[in-house]
Amino acid sequence: MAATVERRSWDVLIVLTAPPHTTDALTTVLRLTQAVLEREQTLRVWACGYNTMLTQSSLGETKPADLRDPATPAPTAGALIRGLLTAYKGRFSWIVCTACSAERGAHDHIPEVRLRSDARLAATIAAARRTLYIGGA
Amino acid sequence: MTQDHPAERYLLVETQSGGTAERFLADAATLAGAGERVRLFLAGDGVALGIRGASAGLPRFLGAGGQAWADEFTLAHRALHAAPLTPGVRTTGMGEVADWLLEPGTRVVWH
Repeated sequence: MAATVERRSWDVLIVLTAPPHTTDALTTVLRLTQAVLEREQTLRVWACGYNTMLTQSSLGETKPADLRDPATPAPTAGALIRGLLTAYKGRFSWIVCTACSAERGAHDHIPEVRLRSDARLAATIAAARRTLYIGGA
Repeated sequence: MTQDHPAERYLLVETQSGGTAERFLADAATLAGAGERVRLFLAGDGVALGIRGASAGLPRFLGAGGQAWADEFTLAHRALHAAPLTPGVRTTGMGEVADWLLEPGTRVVWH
């Protein structure tokens, strides 16, 4: 008998193409992600475009919070993502599109994220019960 | 809407303001007017639409039977927590939005 492979399904997939730092999109997505995870659901984010640069190791853990108060540190987006991945291990995944990442020269990511070819996007969507697309083309 | 067409549930999220947002609200009003159950969540720049008098489309959407909420986090972030909202617009947080998102059968559009 041929072996079958059980594919894991996820409750929610967010495909995030809206660029960071121009609107509140990233913050809103992280807030929604946390709320969904607090409801014992599973969620993956597929980071496209400039979102692939957020999890570069070189960005470190903190950034200046405010130019008027640069001494007060604030977590980088990468640190926030790593925090969610740690707090909700096994129920949250952050996927970095390898094509978008390579185009932008972002090669060294924090080890908690997964890198995946855009050729896998369709399969990733198929593995989700609900897909939410956030951003422009 | 006919009786053999049960109402669909929609969660529409508006994060922008301006012309495209007004077109989004017009579509939302059309859905609500057709008898669909439409929830509108205003977040990001979209919360500006919820301020009283700021949007022509929002009162039409509410008048057509839609329901609207503004993101309390964004309102506070923009120091708009005390601003007068369009009558009928309530505030809520991301927890309730997650509940709506996870309701089976809900169609979600994020603009």
